[in-house]
Amino acid sequence: MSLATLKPRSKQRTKDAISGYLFILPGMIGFAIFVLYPFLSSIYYSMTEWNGATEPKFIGLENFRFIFTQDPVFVASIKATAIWVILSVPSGVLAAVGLANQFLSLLGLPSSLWLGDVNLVFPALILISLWSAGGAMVIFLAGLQAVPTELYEAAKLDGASDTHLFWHITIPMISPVILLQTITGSIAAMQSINQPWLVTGGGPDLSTNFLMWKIFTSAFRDNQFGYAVALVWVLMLIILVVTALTFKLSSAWMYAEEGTE
Amino acid sequence: MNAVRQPAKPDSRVRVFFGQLRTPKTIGLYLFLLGLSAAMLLPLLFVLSTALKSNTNILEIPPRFFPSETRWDNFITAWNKVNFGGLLWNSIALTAINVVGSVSSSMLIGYGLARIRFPGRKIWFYIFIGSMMLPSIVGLIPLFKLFLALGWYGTWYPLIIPAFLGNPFFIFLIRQYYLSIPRSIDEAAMIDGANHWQIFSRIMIPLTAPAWISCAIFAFQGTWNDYMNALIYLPLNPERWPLSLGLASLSGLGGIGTATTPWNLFMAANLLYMIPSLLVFFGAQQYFMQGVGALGARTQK
Repeated sequence: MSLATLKPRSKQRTKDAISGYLFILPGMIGFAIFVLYPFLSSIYYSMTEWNGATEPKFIGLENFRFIFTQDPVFVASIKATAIWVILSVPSGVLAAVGLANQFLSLLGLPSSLWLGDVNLVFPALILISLWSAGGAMVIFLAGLQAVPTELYEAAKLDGASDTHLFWHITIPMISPVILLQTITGSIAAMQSINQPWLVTGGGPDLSTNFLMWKIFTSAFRDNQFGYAVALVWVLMLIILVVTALTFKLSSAWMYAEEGTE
Repeated sequence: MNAVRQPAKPDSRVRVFFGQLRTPKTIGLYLFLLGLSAAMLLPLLFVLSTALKSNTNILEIPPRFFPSETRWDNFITAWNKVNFGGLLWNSIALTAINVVGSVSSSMLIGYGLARIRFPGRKIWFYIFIGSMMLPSIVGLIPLFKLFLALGWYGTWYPLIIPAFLGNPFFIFLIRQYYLSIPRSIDEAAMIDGANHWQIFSRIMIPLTAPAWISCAIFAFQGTWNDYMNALIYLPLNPERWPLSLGLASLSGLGGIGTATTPWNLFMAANLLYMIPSLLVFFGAQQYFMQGVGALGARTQK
């Protein structure tokens, strides 16, 4: 760096270190309050009986024992959550890939060429993107833009059809994004709460009593905060296991650019 | 990353469009996509249809798409019933504070991580990214206890203070965007004697506009639609509610779907509630795409 010649190197370094930490200070405070503190303290709370008003009372692993052996609703919650994840995640990913592709062509950006150029459904697509697949679509857009256009051009010269291009270039090239989206989608789906909250109230017959809804009602309706935190930890472990498994299974079909971290 | 590409000229796109329309395959594709779009729009249209029905017609069977009598006054009734005017002000204030807080703090952090070399910056980058992976619900109850102890229950503080401490996703997005800005700009400014604060505030804020405008839109949507935090901290303070809580109260707080829910008013209020989101998205859509496009930038060593 040319700066080294301007000022004594060590002085500049100290200055940079100070300004660096000043710039990221809000984030460090945020991390301590919103990640580190809740994470550590929730380990303790999960082992307490606590109604939210009086002080938590330490009861060891009793909450976890109750969850796995006695709680009449736990199994139903797991089942409801699992079905929800299996149904909602793949459809969300599929919808988002297709829409992102469309969107690129609409904006005059190079899409992955499998759907051609579209103008008329633009307003409709914007509404759709706000509807549900929007967030995921935006991430796919970014992924699609990073696919080098030379690949398509070369394949086209070799006579590949649009369908070929899609399956043999687009999908492999954006497979990291698909993986990312599947994982974040699953994590979000496992934490779904709006559907039972707004529509079903967990019924009928506990069929939509998602784990997250059970956690919420345990804490803020039944005032069993310690028990709810224990359930949070169960949910978190499930999320960790599912994420790890997804990573493991994906390594077989994932495209990885050589030399990237 | 590539510079933002210019859209093709409209006339050439129209020509291409009609040229392609001739093939049966393309026509089939359009029909399929139109069908898909219609399916996605249907719920919205159903909301509109319900919003225009009279009280007696909302639950009639079979349901009618075009109401037999059109009740535009539902919008006025709904407006008055949820105190829309008052709560709208709350929502606007909450959203504005959150947008300013989360965007400005994340911009600072993003600059620090991307442009200042200091020991530990890589570790902190991974810590911020990693904290995105942790389910936010873990924090819900301990934070509730913390805010309760601080006496913040029933106030706006739990809904606005966190915004000023950075948002991991925004930090990531802004930091990625910096990778596409040449470092020679910083170096030139440094040689002219600028310090980091000056480089950040005078040069980088304008240059990273697409990134932080995207963040502002995300922050707007997140706060405007936030229901959970308001419900946890403000259930007993109707005068401080954002619109989301006001709408829910139309159908009995938290327990939706009672037989007495005035669905027509509920839907009318929902439509009004949606309008600002739509306007913001349509208005800022171009910046939005540019900023998010930066996520595709290759990670720099």
